[in-house]
Amino acid sequence: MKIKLLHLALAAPLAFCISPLSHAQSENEASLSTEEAVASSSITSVKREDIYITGGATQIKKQPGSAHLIDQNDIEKFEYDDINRVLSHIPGVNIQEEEGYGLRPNIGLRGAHPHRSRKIALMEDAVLIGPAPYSAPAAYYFPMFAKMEGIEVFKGPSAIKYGPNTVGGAVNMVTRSVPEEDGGRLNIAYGTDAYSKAHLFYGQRTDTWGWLVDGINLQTDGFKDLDTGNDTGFNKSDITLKGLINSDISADIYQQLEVKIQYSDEDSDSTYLGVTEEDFQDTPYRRYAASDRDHMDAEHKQLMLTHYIELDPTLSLTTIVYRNEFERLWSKLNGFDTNTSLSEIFANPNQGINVDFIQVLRGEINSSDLGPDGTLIVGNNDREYVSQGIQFLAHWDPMLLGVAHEFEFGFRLHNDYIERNHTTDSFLMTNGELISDGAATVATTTNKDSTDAIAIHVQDKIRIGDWTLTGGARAEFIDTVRKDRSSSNADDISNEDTVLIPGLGAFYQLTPELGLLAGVYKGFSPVGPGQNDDIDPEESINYEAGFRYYEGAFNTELVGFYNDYSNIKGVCTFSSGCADADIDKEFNGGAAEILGAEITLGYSLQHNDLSYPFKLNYTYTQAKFAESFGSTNPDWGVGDIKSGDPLPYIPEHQASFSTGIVGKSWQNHLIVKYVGERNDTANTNVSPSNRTIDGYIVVDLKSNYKVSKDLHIHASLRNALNKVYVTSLRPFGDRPGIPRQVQVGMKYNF
Amino acid sequence: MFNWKRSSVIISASVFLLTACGGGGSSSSDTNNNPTPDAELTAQQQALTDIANAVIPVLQNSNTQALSLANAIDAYCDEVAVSSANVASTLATAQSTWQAAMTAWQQAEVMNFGPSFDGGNNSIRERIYSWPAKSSCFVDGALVDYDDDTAGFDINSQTPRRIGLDALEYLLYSNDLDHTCSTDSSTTSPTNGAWNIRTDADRSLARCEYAKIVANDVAAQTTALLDDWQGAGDNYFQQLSTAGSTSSRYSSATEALNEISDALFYLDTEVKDMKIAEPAGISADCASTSCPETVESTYANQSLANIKANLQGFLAVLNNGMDDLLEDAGQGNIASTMTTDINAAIANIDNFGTTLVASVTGINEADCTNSTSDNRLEEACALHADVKKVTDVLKTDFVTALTLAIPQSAEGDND
Repeated sequence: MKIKLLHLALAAPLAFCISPLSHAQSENEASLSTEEAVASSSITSVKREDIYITGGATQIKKQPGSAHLIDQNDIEKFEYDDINRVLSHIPGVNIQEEEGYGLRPNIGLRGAHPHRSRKIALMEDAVLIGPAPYSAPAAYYFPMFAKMEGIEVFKGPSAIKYGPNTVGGAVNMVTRSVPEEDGGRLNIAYGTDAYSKAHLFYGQRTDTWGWLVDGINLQTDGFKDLDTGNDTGFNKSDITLKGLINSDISADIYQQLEVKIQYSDEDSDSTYLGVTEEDFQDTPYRRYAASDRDHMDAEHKQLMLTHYIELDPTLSLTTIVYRNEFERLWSKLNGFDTNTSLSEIFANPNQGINVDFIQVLRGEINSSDLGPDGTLIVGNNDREYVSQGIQFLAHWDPMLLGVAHEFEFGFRLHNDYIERNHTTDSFLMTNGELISDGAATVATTTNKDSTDAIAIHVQDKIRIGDWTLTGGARAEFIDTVRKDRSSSNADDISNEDTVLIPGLGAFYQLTPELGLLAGVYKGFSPVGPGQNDDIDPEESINYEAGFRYYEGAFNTELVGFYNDYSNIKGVCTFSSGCADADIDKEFNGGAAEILGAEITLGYSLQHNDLSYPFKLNYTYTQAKFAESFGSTNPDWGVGDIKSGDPLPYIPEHQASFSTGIVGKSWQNHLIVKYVGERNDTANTNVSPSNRTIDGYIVVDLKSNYKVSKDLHIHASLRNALNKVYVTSLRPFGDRPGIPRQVQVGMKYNF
Repeated sequence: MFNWKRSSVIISASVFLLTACGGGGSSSSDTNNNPTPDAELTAQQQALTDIANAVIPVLQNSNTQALSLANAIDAYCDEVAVSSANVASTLATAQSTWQAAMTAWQQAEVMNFGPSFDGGNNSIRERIYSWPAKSSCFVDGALVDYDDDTAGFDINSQTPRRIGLDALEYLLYSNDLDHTCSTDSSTTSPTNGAWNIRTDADRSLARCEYAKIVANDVAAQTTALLDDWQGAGDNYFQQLSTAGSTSSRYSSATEALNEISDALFYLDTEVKDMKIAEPAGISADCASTSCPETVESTYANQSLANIKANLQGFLAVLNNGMDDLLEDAGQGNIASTMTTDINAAIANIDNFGTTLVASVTGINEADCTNSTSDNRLEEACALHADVKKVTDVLKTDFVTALTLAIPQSAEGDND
């Protein structure tokens, strides 16, 4: 398959996406998108099947497992910067919003706890993108979504191709590729709270080489009102450089080499501190004075070398060498200098001494008046991460015994580590401001967790008549070490894990329109470094079955799933309310059961040169513990958890709906998102006692107008009804979703 | 170092063996050589009954002392109101009565389970003694509120920092009548004006009157607590002694024992770490060589007496029920070792020779580091070692022998 063939094969899926999400696009949309696709250079010369887990949009219809692709058309149509809003269009995705802008998304799939996306395989261009996915799976770094041209979510058996966390599935984000023609785009926008976006990319391409530069800056003053009057927003920038060379298209063995260099930084005034339930009723967007010092300073660097070689039309090999570096210093309020935690204070803010603490947080009384325990501790969680490795992916598509096979063999040698240099400083709330008490900085956690891992997967897909069958397995060999760097005498804590993760899937094309699918695979999440010997890996057997139906402008999919956990695992993070000493500590939760159903519906009505696209997805999830045990995990609640108690932060019902009117040069869309009520903890007998978080509906409006072939104007109204809603009670208090935001902008292709 | 040999063997053996794959972690059945469930339950319930019988006299004494304290402060206030010559003597009586009441309550501090614990940060315990949450400024603010509107003042709605034995320590022992707040805002009365410009007599009387209602509240709380334990009907004594059978509170005796065990960890987290290690500079919470200002009893200098009472309270529970359970588990030596160590710590407190605050002021850091129970270079640090002997056993052998859990608050090792 030479480059022109690649163009033919790969351009079509992106221009005429047929995933359940994009299938219902009108011709008008497709026309507009095709133009944009040229300008935005959505076609890559790297074999897409190796970048898209799903194999690209054309393959999704016959995937023997649940898979979804949001392509560039959808991304550009809604002009989202926040991946939380993008993923709400996919069923089975559990999102726990946090600071409102999607800086630190919490993504779970099929009932896997969403916190810090630690239960999923999170990738960028098919490479693990978490800062240290084995050693510290909580994803405190997340790429800027504005630079993506596609995102896929895979929840079925093929998720085992990507680990180490297979229990929830995989999310792969695809960055902008080197264009097929010289060109670029400027996209600028301005909006509420001094929001601004400046996005510029440009690239060139010849027959044998090409390059791309893609730079973005996003910033805002923030929507929260800090008692001190300071900003609560962020300033985030990202620049990516890509260059590629490839052999002549007439070469017997086609090869291509691409280099990708990325740098990004973030300067944000995010906080973990919410407000009391009572204050939320009156001032949901308030930030207490005690959060004035909260600040994140982060820097991310990436180097990726991708080599593709096609030895013959049935045999190809993709090799990727990668290194990601991430440094962050997150200063944030840890609590008071006492044994009463902020979690306890916010759980019962009107009770006893908690009343006094809340007054200090608000800046209403001075720390010195409260007494010795009035001193506020600000933690500086300074961490350095490295994630690096080499991965090979070979495809071999032979005919054996008269049957067409598609073999895939993957091998990854990976190393990652996290160095924690946590310190604390103490401050006194004095007349509404945090003033240092003069005490020296105290080192709290000084350690290093590291992991060496080998991952291997094999898979064979065969097609026999109307059947497509897939079988495969993944093996992980994981060695972890925790080193206490604060003491030269401390012993290292080492663990070794070996696991084999099999998966089977089947797809049957019952009619040209209707296909049936079923699959079973093992879910796995490894034990992190430094854990006690009694901590087990998270393991489950996951089942799914359903159908897909495509007929003309109509499509639908229904998939039922049942995840049977033999051990569900919890992890302490500061963002979930754990004390510094317990951060990254893991907990066994024993058996758990998660079952549910995912439904998508899509249709596009054509009338008088206008199209009316319609999309709906709905997810039902019943997630519960399946055995009784004593929990010491604050994430679930500390105390007795009974079999049948719900898993926190998994809504039973969630849905999204979008519709619009699309003309030749304009589009108007309405998007409605519903998230049902969720539980903060497992029951009312644990600490903190469970509080049910109300469900909410958020409406977004989006318009695009094509002034000329190359000039588009766009406007959006996010949370158009200005709905006030609680996204989370973690780690401390009620935290709001983003209020109404108006944004206008323009895109110019050149 | 990555184990390549192991990996290569496993890779070759396992990748294609899909059918051999299990679906999860292995599970093992417990082998149980313990006594029969009925016999074990009976023994646990007997231990719980014994513990209850040890706790109730402590609470009774605490109640008696609290009532005496209320009477002593009442008498003191009568003298203050008329500026009589007996003010000093009645104050001294009130102070000594407060010391007795505090000592009595400190024994109960290690028995903070059941009704005294219920209610979290507004529990009976917090209302009687909220240390380490204490604030002289909050007490100042509350007494100004009380003085300004005595009839409208509701003692029940005051947060724990404003009331309790800790508030009384400040009210009875602080000689400085000026308020201790950093601003005047919380100590300005709409009726009576700013606190600091009022006369000494006026302020002394206001303090005393407020101390009176606080002492009455402490007495009322100890009465209520005692009633919860042994009042008519389904009291807490019944709940404990029937845990695991007819108790509506405890579905198992182990659950009740775990609550009691959690309370005993007061000796580790509060006594060892906060009352001794922090003032002595052993704890990371003290950023200096020592932190004398963090002693528990800042006005009455009763920190050592409090620690001694804590040890006595611990001993009462250990030797009245827990020891039998340890004996049944074949680990009777644990109780005897802990008893010996506790008695040694108490004896060392009796021979301390000075106050805790004096001991830790100007402490020699090297001597402190080298201090042990047998090498008492710095007495406060040696006392820390004394108590640590007990808590080391508590955290390991004790909970293991009785298959109890370490409370989360004690899991982070501060040693």
